[in-house]
Amino acid sequence: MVETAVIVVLLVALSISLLFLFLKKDVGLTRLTEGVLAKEKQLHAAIEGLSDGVVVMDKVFKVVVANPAVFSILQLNHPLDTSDFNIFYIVNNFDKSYRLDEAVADVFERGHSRTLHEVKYNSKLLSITVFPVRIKGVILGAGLVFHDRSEEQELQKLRDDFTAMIVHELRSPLALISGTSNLLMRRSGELSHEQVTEMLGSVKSSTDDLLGMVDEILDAAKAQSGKFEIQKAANDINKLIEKESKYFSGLATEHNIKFNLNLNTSIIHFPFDYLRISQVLSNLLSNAFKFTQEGYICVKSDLQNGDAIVSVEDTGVGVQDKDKGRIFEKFVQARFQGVRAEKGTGLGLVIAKGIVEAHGGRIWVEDNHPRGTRFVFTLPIS
Amino acid sequence: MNKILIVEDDWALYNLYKTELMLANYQVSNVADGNLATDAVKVQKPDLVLLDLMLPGKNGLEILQEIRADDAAKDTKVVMLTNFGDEENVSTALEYGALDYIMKYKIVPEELSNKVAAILGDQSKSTVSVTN
Repeated sequence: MVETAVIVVLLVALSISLLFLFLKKDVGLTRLTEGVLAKEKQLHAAIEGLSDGVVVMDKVFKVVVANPAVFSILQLNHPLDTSDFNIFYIVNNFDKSYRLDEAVADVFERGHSRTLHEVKYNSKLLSITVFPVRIKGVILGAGLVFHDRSEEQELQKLRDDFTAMIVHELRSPLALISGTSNLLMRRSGELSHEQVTEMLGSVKSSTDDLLGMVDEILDAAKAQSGKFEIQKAANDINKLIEKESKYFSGLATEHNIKFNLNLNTSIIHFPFDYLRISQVLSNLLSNAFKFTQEGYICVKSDLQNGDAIVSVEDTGVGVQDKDKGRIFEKFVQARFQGVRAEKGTGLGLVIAKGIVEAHGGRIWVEDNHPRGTRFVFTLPIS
Repeated sequence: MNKILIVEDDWALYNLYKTELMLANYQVSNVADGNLATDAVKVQKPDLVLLDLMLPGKNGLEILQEIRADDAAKDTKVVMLTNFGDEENVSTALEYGALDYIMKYKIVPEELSNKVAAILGDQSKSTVSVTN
């Protein structure tokens, strides 16, 4: 059967090294067959588990292998009648301008592999490789690999936006420093003492902003490479929470938001980097206040499985499910739509993750029911 | 006296441009919220708007579109004054009728004042020829 031949082609291609080893060791035929069968199972499991869609057809275009990823990537149902499952069931879904049918025909006629790099399909961006399946030089079938590039493309866009945002944030204070120097050098004699003092004050705060951003960029780089340095000493986490929260209680009153602390007072002193953990909590709280228009914000401390656990709950806009896993990654916060939300690098959560992980803890975000988010981090006590 | 409206949410930068332009005898006002910019243009009827791109509420390109779509404001002279210089933004702004697209970090107040003088046809205040 041609179908079987095609599967065997794949099997042989991937099993060749194994066979070579068997033969070299002069293993008996029975063991060899067992090895091949085991390898075949592995091969099928591997194809089934691939994140890329793989389809293999015979010379009359009948599909003999199609892994689950093909149907999920292409959002197609598996045909009920597999005896009539040919490649055009898949190929005909693509825009004719990609000439996928021609690429398939070309494989059989000339035996050339071909990759179409940017194929738009529904809302996705795919690359599709068409390749011949040969045995002893004879083409017995052809395969197609569908690789979903949508996520890579989205990540690239995030990187570009992030760079644009960082460059913008660095240029703003530079424009002020350079512009003020120009003005004062030429016309300070025409300005009042107060005007000059005010302008020099702006130069000072722009310089501080720049230095702060440079620190954040370096911290984020360290956080991402896992090289965050911390200095642990025995400290009281509840005192830290109380102290940090004082800075925010005025903001709560101003925005008419309830702000509570719920602290487990039985947590003993344990070693952590006081300044760095303050930085984490400050970041979580400022995010909570940024995104909460009404309701409450609550900081809790507790003990769980030998860890101190600190959470910041809010009733704000929430975090979309697709962003929960990657909100602590660089680039993700930095979505520029030309509307200013907040100044700064947007690297706070990347740095927070670096700090918590340098302590051997974990940080994550979850939904706060019925609305809002709960950011949680743990710190090992021992 | 020519009136200039600066749409800018960074108070220190606004203060810098204002000081320079007032020394050049312009009347200068500010709006910091993108949502209020078009109304400010309609009410104040400035001779020139210096328009930032990244603003709270509404971005500069949206504001420029609004100005162009409003009968009472559509002929207002607008110059973009921003630190976002990607080509798409520049071409969109020029397409919407911005007279120039100035990068803040590339221009010192003296040059800004000269550009403004050239745009408003005030040759006595322009000491440098303006090129884009």
